[in-house]
Parts: sequence; C-alpha cells; structure tokens
Amino acid sequence: MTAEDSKKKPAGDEKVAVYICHCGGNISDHVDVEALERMAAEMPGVTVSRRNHFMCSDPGQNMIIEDLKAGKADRIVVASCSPALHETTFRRAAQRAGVNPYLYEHANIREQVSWVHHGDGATAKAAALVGAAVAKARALQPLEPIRVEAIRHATVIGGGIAGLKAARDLAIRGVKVALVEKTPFLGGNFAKLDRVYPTQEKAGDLLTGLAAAVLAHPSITVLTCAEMIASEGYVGDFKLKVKRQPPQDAEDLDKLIQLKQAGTAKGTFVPFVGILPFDVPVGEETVDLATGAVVLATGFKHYTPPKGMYGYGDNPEVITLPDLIKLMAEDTAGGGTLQVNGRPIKTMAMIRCVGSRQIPGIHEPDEKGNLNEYCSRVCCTATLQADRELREKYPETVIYDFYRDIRAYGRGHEEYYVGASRDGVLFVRFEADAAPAVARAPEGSESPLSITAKDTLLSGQDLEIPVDLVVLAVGMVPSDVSSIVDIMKLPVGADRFLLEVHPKLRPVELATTGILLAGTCQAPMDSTEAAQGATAASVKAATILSRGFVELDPYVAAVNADLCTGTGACVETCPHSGCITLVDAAGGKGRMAKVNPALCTGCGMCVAVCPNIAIEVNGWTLRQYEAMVDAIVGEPIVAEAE
Amino acid sequence: MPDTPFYEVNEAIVLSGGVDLNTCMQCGMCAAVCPWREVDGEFIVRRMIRLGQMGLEGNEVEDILYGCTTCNKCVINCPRGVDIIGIMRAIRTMTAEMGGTPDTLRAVIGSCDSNGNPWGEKREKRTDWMKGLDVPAYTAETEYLLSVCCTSCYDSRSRNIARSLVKLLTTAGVSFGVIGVEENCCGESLRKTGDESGFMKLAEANIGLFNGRGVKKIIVTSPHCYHTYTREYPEIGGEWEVIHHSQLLAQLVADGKLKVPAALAKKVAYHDPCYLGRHSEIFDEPRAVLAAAGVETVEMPREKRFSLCCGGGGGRVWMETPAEKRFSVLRVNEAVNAGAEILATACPYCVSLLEDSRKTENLEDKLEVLDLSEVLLRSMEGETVR
Repeated sequence: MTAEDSKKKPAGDEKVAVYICHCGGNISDHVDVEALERMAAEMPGVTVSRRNHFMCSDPGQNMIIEDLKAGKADRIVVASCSPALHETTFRRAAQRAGVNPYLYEHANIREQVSWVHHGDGATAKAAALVGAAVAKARALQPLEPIRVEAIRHATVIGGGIAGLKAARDLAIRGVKVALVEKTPFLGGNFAKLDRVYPTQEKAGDLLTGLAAAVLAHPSITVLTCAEMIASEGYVGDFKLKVKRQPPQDAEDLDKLIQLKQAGTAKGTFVPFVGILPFDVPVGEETVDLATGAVVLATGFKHYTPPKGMYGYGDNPEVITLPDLIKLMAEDTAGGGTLQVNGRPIKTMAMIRCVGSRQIPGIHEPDEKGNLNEYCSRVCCTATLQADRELREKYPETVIYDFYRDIRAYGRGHEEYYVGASRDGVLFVRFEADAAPAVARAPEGSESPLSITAKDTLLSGQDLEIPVDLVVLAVGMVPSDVSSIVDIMKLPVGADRFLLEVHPKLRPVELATTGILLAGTCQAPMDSTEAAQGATAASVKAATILSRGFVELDPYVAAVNADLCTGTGACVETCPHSGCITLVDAAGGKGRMAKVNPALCTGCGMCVAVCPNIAIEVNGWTLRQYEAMVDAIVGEPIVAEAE
Repeated sequence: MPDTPFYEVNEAIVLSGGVDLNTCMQCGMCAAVCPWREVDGEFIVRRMIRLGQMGLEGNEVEDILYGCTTCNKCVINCPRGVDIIGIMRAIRTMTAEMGGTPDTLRAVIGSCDSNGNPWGEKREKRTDWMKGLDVPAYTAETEYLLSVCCTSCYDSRSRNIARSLVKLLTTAGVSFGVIGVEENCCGESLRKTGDESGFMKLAEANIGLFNGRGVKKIIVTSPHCYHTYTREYPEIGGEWEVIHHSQLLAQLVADGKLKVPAALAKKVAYHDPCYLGRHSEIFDEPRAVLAAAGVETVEMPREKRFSLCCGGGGGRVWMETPAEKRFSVLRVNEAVNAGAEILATACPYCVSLLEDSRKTENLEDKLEVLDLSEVLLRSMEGETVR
C-alpha cells in the first residue's frame, strides 16, 4: 500500500490532533518544527497540527484539552521526549478533556531524533515517526485499565534489619504482614555488628527495639525457620507457599545449643546471634499465604576469601573484618594492646577491597567464574570505624591500613576518616596490580607475619612491615536466592544482586508489579541505606494495596473467539504460568484460549505463535503495526512552503 | 631492599609539635601550590610529610629539611587544615635535638644566644642605625615601643627602613621610643629552624624586658616580629597591642597626621610579605599607604593570598640558595613585566632578598625595591613631583 492509496482510502472518520514540542530548543534547534507542523497537517486523518515550546507545561496541556473539548479531534499524537517521561502526562490531559486516555500515541523526536541527528535528516526522521504515530493513532480503540482486587496483606521475606523495618512500616500503614525468615533468628547480619556508624549506637539496642515492635504488633505474623517454596498469582493476589521445618544449618544448630546452655530467654537479643523469638518447629509444615505484595529483604553474605588470598586460611593470624568486630566486642579487658588468643598485637594491618572492585585480568574469578567488580561500599567506613575503635581501646596497637581508595561517601563518614587519621592510623595506598603480599615471617622473628608492599605515595617504594595480625576488609556478596529467583522469575544483575527497574525513576521496584526490594538483596549498602530501602519498599507496597484494588495497563493479550481454534500454541509459549488456559468455547465449538489479564505482561509471544492470528495484544495489534510500517515506508509527505 | 617503617619516628614528630602529621591524607595540594615547584626544588612538602608519617629516611638532606620557607600557602589551601608548618618545625626540632643542624644555622643560633641577634654582630651595635637621627628612648610616658627588626638594626640597606619610619613617626607627632641594646631578636626564625630552646630564651628575655618597662603598645617593622608577638608570645606571658608599621602609617595618613603635598610619579607594584598577608591577613593597609603616596599602582599576577614568597622565611634567609632557584628572582621579573618602577613591600627579609635579585638580574636601572615607609617618605619629601 502506498501513501497515495492511504490518502485515497482513509481508514475512517478518525480526527487526529498532532502536537509538536520544541522542548525549549532541545528539539527545535535540530528539527525544523515549523516544517514538521505543516507536514503533519497534510497527514491522513490529521485535523489539528500545532507546536509549543513545552508541551508538558500547563499552556501546552491546555491546548490539547481545548482542542479535544471543542471537538476538533478525538485522538491525539504528541511528538516530544521519551514516553518514559511524559506519556502519562498527556494521557491524563486527554482524560481531563473527556477522551479515553488510550486514544493517544507518542512520537519520541528528542532522544530518538534531535539528540542524535542534525539537519534535514533529523526533520525527515521526525516526520516519519510522527507519520507512524498518526497512522497508529487512527487505528487505536478505546481501552479500559484492568482492575484487580488487592488483598491488604504483604509478605516480607527476610528478617534482618531491612525485613524488620519493612514489616513494621507496612503494619503502621494498616497492612497485615507475614514476615518469613529462613533461620530461627531475627536480626540477620545486623545482629553481627557491635556498634553501627555513624551514630555509634549498639546494633543490639536498635535491633531489640525494632524486633520487639514487630513481635508485639497484632498485624504482623512472624514465621521463622520458613522458606517460600511456591508463588502464584499477581499483584493484589499472590498465593505463596511457605515451608517451615526444623533448622538444618549447622551454624544455626550450634547457636541454638549455645542459647540453651546460656539459658537465654526467648525474645532477648544475643550478640552475634540475634533474637530467637519462639521455639523452632519440631516437624515440617506448609503455610499458605494469600498476599497482595511481596517485599524481598533477603540480604547478603560476607565475601569469603579463598584459601591463600592474603594468607587467609594458611595463617591463623589472618582474619576478616567481621571476625575482628566480634573479637573486639567480646574483649572486655581492653588494655594497651589488642590481644588475640593471648598474643599481644603490637602491629596490625588492615587490607581493603578484599573481594570487591575486582578487575578482570588482575583478580582471579571464583570457582563459578564470578568476579566482584562492584564496590561493596560498606567496608571503607566500617574499617575506619574499626581503626578508630582499636586506637581508642588499644592505644599501643599500631595500625597500617592498606587501601586502594577510601570512599567515605556518606553523611558522617568523612569524620571517621579524619578521626582515624588523627588517631595515628597509617594509611598506605596500593595499586590493584601491586597489592600487598602477606607471608609468614622467618622463624625467630618477633612478629609471625610480614607484609611486603609498594607505597604509591612514595613513588612505589618497597616496604616490609612485620605484623602480628592481618584483617581483611571483606566485601558483600548476595545471599543465595536462586530458588526465589526461579519461583518468581526475578531479574538478576551481572553482579548477581536483584535488579530494580530503574535506580531513579522506579527505585526498589521490580518489573513484576507488587514485588519490591529492600536492603542488601539489591546491592551492597550499609544498614542506614538498607533501612531507607525498606521504608521505600514498604511505602510503595502500602500504596499499591491501600485502595483495595490495583489498576493495570490494558496492554494485555485478547482472544478473538471467531478465529481461535484452540490449538494451544499460545498456552505452551506463554512464559507466565496460568496466564493463558484452554476453556470450552461457547456453543460447544470445541476449545479456545482464555487470558487472565492480571497475569499477562503483554509480551506478545502468544501473538507470534498463533497460526490463526486469533490472539493480539490490545494497544499493539498487528493492524496497528501494519499501519505504522506503511506510514514509514510510504512516500514521504512534502509540506507546501508557506 | 625494602624499607621498614619506624612508627616511633611518627610518634616523636607528633610529640614535637607536628600534631597534624597523621591528619594529612597525602592529596598533594600542598606540593602543588608550593613555590618550590616553580623552580623545581628538591623539597616536596607532601613527600616530606609522607616520610615523616612512615618514619622513613630521606628528610635529613639539608635542602629538603630546611627547604620550607613557611610561606603558609599550603596551609591555607590544605583541605584538611593541616598545620603543615608545625610538622616542618617538629621534624627540624627533632633533627636539632639529634645534633643535625647545619653549620650555617649553627652560626645564627650561636649569635642569637650570645648577641641577641642572628647577624653575628655585637649587642652594643644594635643602635648604630640611629646615628645622626634623634630617636627618643622609651620611657614610662612613651605610648609606643618601636621594636626594630634585627635586620633593620644591622643590615646597611635595611637600616634605611628604620630611619625612614622614625622620620615619619616624628613628623606625625607619634609618641614612640626605642629601648635599644637590651632588646633581642624576636626568635621567629630560630623557632622555625627547630631551635625551640633558643627561641624560648629570646622570648623570655624580651617579654621580661618589655613587661619590666611597662610596655603596652608596640610598633614592629617586620611581619615576622608581628607574627611572633601576636601569635606566639601571648602563650608565654607577652601580651601587648602590636601594630605593624604599615597599619600605623595607614592610620596616620587617614587621620591627616601625615600629609602628602604631591604625588610620587612612579609605577609601583606591591609585594605582599607572607607573614603580613597570608599569615596575618593584613592586605588593605599597605595598599592604603601606597594610595596616600599618590603613586600609580600596577598589579602583579600573584597578589594577596596568592603572593609569591620571596624565599626568606623559615630560616632560609640565612641559607644559600642558587640563583636559579630563588623565588625572589621570579618576583622581581614579575614586577618589571607588570611595568613597575618600584617594587614596594613591608618586610625587611623581602627587601633584602628582592634587592639582591634585582642586582643579580641586572634590573638596577629598571626597578627599585623599597619599603612602604621609604615610598611614603619620598613622596612627602617631594622627590619627584608629577
């Protein structure tokens, strides 16, 4: 079909209004917007063609509303920036004018045109995109959003600082909560800290208060020793299966024995263990949860250095920062020098970026081929904090702190850096490809270990430092959440942490509406940031559930009953289980496909495999695609000169 | 062979007064703004601090250890506010305690000890600069003690600064007087070279002398004396109202007590001395004096806080610097390039070093180096009338 043909045979009596945005010069500096306005006016079906400096401004939007109200058009095309920014803005404008918001099409002539092309070519491409949008707009049908009933209940997976905070924040907003924790304890990694920066409060004190509030809240059900084993449904109506079973993990069993021996009361915080809220289950049971939203707070693990890295595993004097924190917290004696296993530590070394900021070609991948190229962010300030606490508690212990860079990025963090410096900690900078080497000192040496390094601040001068202890500032790696990832089909980043949709536009959200991220399951972060993430996730979840229903975009698959012969090809192809099913067709005409719109993400795989073209995605029908392609490949529209 | 850090050295520097040693994060801002970078000197301040932190060898080389002129440019630019001069002083103090002071400085230290001045001249000659002038003696009725810098007491060129100032003060009717041979060097450069006990001896002698005579107000002719009297003596019992002569002259002009009948038809550039400018934040009064003298001022590229050190502070005035490494050489050329006929300043060290470079650079026909008091006196005496 040629452009001439389409001119002769208009699709119907649709009246399209086209609005071209200058974006304050962003677009109009490179696209001849006046010519574009004239060209649009010539396009089939176009009854209005206008320009504005900023279409998103009130005057721009009012222009749309006035034209629609005056009956000059019944559908609109806005040619402006990316639809990610203002598609919703213009849909709402149409809605305010009493026009179905889905009778709207967007042409991106900024990111896809003026920012990347210049001159005549830019204007020609803008005209092609506007032409395609107009052609599609003519073929649009009014649609209604899909409304799904929402259960005012959320499930939080993980009982660390983020999970506890999310559960409490949800409950405060009137949402019932199930908190699912894998171990018998609440507190997660946060329970393994002594004092937390930047306030120097006791982690145990913070945890005690938070856990007590969670346990006492009537809307929160806490399930320990529990794991999610199945998930079905969609936002507003997820159906989860949670298995509770007696603890299996050796570390957990060991901690339980310790608590029993110490006679610690349930619900009491135990340093480096956490809080045991109730008895562990004796048998296996499965709990069904009907829940409207899921907050994942599955946390992180400390990086475990492989044997031999900086002498780890070969020398008992090489430990990790979490080991040191525990060691210091448990040493009530204090004194001039730190003592480890009865040995005085006169000189010690910190080594940073262990298992973080790994560089291909310099660092060895682990046995699974993974390299942690990210910065773990927490170790810098945590090490500075340990430096300060050591110098304060053991003023005679000399510390050499080996670093690649110091990233004391957060509020109050720089103070730790300045403080540690003032306290006399010696910072030694090294390059990634010339890291310090830890070796056993020769027999008879005063100190058991010796570190050789190059001081980049002295033009690479070779140093040899006898030390009594080496502490590795290990980074963060994600918890093993592979089963949850499989069950819920979650996106995972190259760093193996769970991946939010967009760090700025949609933080803590996953593409599947109703599943949110809280804390370190998403990226390395400190407990302050984990708590912030938890609050963000809980507020988003509460907002979704607060109206009692959820409205979803209507871009979902729809079956044409006249054409469907029940081949089942779509059912096999659909990636979302339970989304398409075969049902009896009306009038005993065999079987046909049926779509559950709440589960459909509009991916279109079903459309591709249907031999009868009997299934289409609303708002993106094949006819609409054809109209767009025809407009693009047809003869360009030439505007008459003024 | 790798070196092993010696943490005890680090601790000793901190105890000797380099309290900010470990606060330095080695960003290198200090070295980047240091005037030594302009002449490719051996002294690199960041590296010196680093060696101090690590307790490693390398700082004992004379041109490194005594390189710092204490010009304060690094200190005011340091993002962590490190007292870098304190660290330099501490390292020199430790060297001095171990007997590492170089011979040139030993002579200065010895002279201060025996003569009360660093010039190797007899105490009795301290008042020779007054010959032929009627200089009042300081009495209980006198308002200001005029404390003349040793340089202007003994150095023949510098004596003219003191003499010019006396003429101006007399003309303005200021009540001032000189104690004379009993006065001692303020001790500023001794302290900077690490001779803490020598400094204390001079300071205590001066404080005892001034307080014994009932001194309340002091006019100083050197920014180094100004710094010592205002920043260092108060901690050890010397507290007076101290005024640098540039400040007093500006005040006298403003009060109409010094009248300039005609302008001096010269182009003048003003060189901010480190201890008057960056250390004491006195930038406006010297310029007011030049304005009163009616001269045409020209700007050099580096002024006020960015002023280029003459090279004489921190004890370096007593040490030998090869001509190609003298900051004062850069400075006199800067003045000439800016179109100045007179390079005016307000510090005896600056005058000495800039005078010297004017000669070695063969700029004697093009440029004069004068103290503010000399510029003002000349214009008052109507030497050249515009």
